[in-house]
Amino acid sequence: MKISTWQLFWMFTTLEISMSIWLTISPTIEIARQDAWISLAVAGLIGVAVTFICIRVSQRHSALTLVEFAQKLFGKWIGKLIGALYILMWFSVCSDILRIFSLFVKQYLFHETPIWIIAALMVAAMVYVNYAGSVEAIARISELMGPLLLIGIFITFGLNITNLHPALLFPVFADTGAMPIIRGSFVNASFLGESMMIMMLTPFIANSQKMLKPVLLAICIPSVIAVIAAIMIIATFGTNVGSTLVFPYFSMVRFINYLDFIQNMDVWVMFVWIFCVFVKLAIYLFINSYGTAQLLGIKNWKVMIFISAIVIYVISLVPANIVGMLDYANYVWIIYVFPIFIVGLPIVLLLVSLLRGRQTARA
Amino acid sequence: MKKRTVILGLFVLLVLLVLPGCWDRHEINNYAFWIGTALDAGKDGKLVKSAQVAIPADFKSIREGGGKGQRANIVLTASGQTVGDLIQQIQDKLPRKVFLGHRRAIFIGEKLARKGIKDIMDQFTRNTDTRMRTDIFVVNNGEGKDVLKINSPFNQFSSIVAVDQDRYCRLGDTALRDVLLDIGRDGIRPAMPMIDIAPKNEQEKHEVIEVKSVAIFNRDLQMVGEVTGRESLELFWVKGVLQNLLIPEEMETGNITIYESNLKKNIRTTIEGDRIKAYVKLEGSGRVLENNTDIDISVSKERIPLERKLNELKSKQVEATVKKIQKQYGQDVFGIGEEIHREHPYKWKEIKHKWDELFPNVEVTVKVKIKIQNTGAIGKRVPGIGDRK
Amino acid sequence: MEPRVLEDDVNESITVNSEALHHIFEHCADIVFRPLNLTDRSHILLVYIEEMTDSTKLEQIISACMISRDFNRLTQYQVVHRISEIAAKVLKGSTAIFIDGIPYAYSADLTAFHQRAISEPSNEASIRGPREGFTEDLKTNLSLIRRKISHLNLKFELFQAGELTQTEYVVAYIDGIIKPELLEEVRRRLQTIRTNQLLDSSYIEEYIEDRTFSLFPQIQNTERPDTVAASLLAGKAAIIVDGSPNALLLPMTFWAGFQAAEDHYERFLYVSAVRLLRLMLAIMSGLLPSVYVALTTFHPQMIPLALMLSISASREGIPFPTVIETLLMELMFEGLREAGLRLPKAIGSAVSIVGALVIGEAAVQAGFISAPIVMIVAGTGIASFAFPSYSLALPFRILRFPLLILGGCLGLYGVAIGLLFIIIHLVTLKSFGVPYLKPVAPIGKNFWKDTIIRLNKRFVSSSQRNQ
Repeated sequence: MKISTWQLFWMFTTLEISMSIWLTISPTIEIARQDAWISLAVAGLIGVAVTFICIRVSQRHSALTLVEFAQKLFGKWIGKLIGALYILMWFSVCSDILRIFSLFVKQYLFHETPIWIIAALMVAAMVYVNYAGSVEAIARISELMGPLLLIGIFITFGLNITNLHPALLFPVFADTGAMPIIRGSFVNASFLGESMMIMMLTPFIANSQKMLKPVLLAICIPSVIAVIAAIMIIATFGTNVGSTLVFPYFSMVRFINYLDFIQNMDVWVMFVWIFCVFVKLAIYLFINSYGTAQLLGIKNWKVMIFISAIVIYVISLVPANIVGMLDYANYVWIIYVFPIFIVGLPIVLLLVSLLRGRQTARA
Repeated sequence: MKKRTVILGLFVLLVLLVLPGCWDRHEINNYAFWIGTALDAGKDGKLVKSAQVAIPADFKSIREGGGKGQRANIVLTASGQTVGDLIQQIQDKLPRKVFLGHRRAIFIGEKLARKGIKDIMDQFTRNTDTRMRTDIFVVNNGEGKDVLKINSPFNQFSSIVAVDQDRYCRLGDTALRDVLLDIGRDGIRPAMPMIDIAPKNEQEKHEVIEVKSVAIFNRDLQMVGEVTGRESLELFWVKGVLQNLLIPEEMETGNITIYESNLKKNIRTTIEGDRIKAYVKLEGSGRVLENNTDIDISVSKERIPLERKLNELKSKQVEATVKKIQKQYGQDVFGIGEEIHREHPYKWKEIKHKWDELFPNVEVTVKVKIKIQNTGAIGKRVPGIGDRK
Repeated sequence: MEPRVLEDDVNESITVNSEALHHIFEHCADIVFRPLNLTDRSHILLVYIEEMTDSTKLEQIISACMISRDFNRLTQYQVVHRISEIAAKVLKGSTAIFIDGIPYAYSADLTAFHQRAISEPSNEASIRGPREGFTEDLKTNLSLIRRKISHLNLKFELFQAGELTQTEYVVAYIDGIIKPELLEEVRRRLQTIRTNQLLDSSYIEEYIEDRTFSLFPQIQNTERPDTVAASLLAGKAAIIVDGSPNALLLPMTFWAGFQAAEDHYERFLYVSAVRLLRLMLAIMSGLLPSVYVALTTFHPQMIPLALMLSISASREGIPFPTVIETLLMELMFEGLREAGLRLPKAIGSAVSIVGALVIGEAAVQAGFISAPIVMIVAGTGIASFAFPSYSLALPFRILRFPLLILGGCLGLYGVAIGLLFIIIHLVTLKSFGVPYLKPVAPIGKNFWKDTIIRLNKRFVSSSQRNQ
């Protein structure tokens, strides 16, 4: 059974939301101050544009994964190189997210529990889902968990309304100006750009000619949520506290106190959110093992699950502290990965594909 | 078959990983729940920290009707250089693990507040166990630990009593957040509720605290002054954080008390050269609680002039309060600077660095607009108390 | 059961037949051979099992034979030519009639079992709607279904399994509604059954279910003909086994376990609310103890202060760690439940009073167990009784324990990971090709109509009921 468009929508929504309420808001506020929400809206537009390119590329080769069609477009060796670069990049992202996740869980839920066990349990679940049901099972989980997370987020938004000081959002634009707003938007745009993984997933999608709308919608909804979350955070904590908080959304949820009984809701939101991060990591594991298998010409890609999982796990344990964990996003992801892998290469792929397409049509 | 072995293997691995673990497991009664913190300035420049720690066993006996007058908490004190160090010292005095997640209030002795609290704020936000939803007080003419020692008959924990009391008379448990919000901004200075321990009769001794003043801080988080009573309420009203208040007004013919709720504020500013003007508009709806005048409030013809008169009176008073704070302390606790920031963002950039000098000279005009919507259960006074002529 | 005589055909001579049958039924005390000598000197032999035969009908036959040898007066009879066949029929309760000089035998269906009357299903009672339940008799059960669906497309395919038990069973379905692939798959799987005993429908379930090592039931069972009828109309197949009052329904989805028959008889708004409640209770029955343990031992900041101080106060001086305490009480509870289940009703209630009141109360009083644990265990117990389907309640009962241990070792993160594993298992599980969580994941068109909530029947065409 292949992934339906409904599942595709939820898959991308969950994996984008899990990031945008988690990692992107605080750096954006740091750059764009109280205009962070404009930045995030701009980021949404950039994300939609970038995703549009990726989808167009993969729709032109809907039966093939990135690893295969890159070889088709550029010949065997250059194609393999491009594929290998992407896979390497995905390995690094996956490990990084796993590491941040473990550190985050440790910081919020535990004190002494070592991160290797937190990561190990997560990896075990990732391996299990890929082994037992591959990408189809992941799609179903996201279909179950996505709506729950969305409902949870909106409940927290609703309960937080009493804590807001709307005045903190003003003045709009005057303090920052256009440049910081655009600079700030790169943070979330680059995270939204993770939708490029669609290029590996097209062969598993039931109706890949119809996938444009659900995926673009799945970029828009997390952007809207990020915008609302940013507005709420700024109006709750102001820009100073808001930008220093490492995980401002969860701090905001923790701040909620309703009827003196509903307090510290962050753990419950985190409970659902863990499932969403799991979806993301599991898809990465799938892409990595499937891509590697295709790259190396291994017939049974399921063998690669274990190898990829071990690699990801080991890399994720490279020592880092909670601040260092955002280094990857700041120094690698936004500076190198975003312009090269998310914007540059997909455009090149699209152009070459269009050109080749015309040539073959002529021939 | 192979699939099954793989899954079984994963499961066994999981169990092996989990079982020897339990790193963070602590029984609930291995925790010492830290309910309130008090920080004071010690002698030789040291920091003195006191903790109110819950004793669950006492809590039980109270509920079962056993020992009356049980405190159900213990106050521990330690002195040292930093807040973190003091946590360790308190831990040394406890047989259970200190748990900060339920801290509800922070009390700062006036001496320390006047010295400056810049260096103690970080710990309140950094610790992931604690929440930002904490109340923070300055203890008027006293030490924080004295508040912790209070044994209120309403609740075993004086910290919680203070928070609840604050909620009914001033702000409530968002005080720490509000202070943090104000710290980083140029156009506003923080203000904190204050606690008084001043027993007026025998029963109040060791049992009652008062929340009736507000401490005013400067840019460096040093306390510079305080306002009490109606002035403190008016301060919060102009600041825009007050929800309701109850102030009697002296009229020529007697006094009248109005409970004012749905309070709103609106500040407009103008900058003409060096002259900065602020127009403060305060709105709200009122319910008459006491009327010792001869005015029949149920008659519009009489009520409207009353309203007008009341508003004039109130306007003058608030204006006086603002002026007093301007002249006496010179700290913009109202956030008028932030209003300028919002209205004239570009001009603000030029003046924000010298706001502390500019603020005392801002010309503030206050206009209060209270609408009496509810006259209470009776219209005019019961005949005979004060006959209409 | 191979007859040892070489000649399997019914002989003209009644003595030969009699001998052959005597040989077959050696040491079968329940089989009656009743020779009749008629006035015209011809001989008739009746072979039957006394306890399975309607004696009045038998007398009618005898008198019919005596007077006119007119077997057409019998309502149901067949002509049988083989001894082995006649033996099998006798074992099923028919009466064999041999007549001297005729090279075949008659087999008359005079079966009258001592069978239970149709009564209200005890495990699936309902307040509104039909009150009849299946009995142990296949024919009665089929008639109950046929009475609800009197359409020629309702098919009953007869099968037989069990080398020794020779049990008949029927696959029921509605032609035109059921998907042909499903039917093919069911037939294919039924053919793989190799067993010499088939005593209950659960035997079949074990042979044909998808995943042997799953805790979750993949085939639904019911005692209610109306549930079977509704499921048939929804395109499912039913397997009804002779001797079993439980019909199997397949494919089963997770949500079917949350639906009681009554759901379709009560008004839909109420039903929707109740179903949501059931879902909540189901989650509670699996998670309550583990979440309690996780919260109190790992995340006390989650519990409101006043509540937490009460819990903390009640735990003062308790000798066991919370995990062990919960585990003990849960085991105790499960034990009580198991003990009470098999006992006679009168003693059963006594056991539960002793268990719940005396042991629970005494343990709390003595300070062995804290009071919140008793409440948690009781809450979990009540929640686990809220499942309409007993077989779906079982996995939740079992999974509670691993989750409890995970919660005790890794707090809410452990619970989340445990839950994740369960969810992964559920999404990969299939019952006869239908995803177990359908129509929620993957979403199906019936999601809003009759799954977690139920809409008014006007919005739902009948073929979509019950998924």
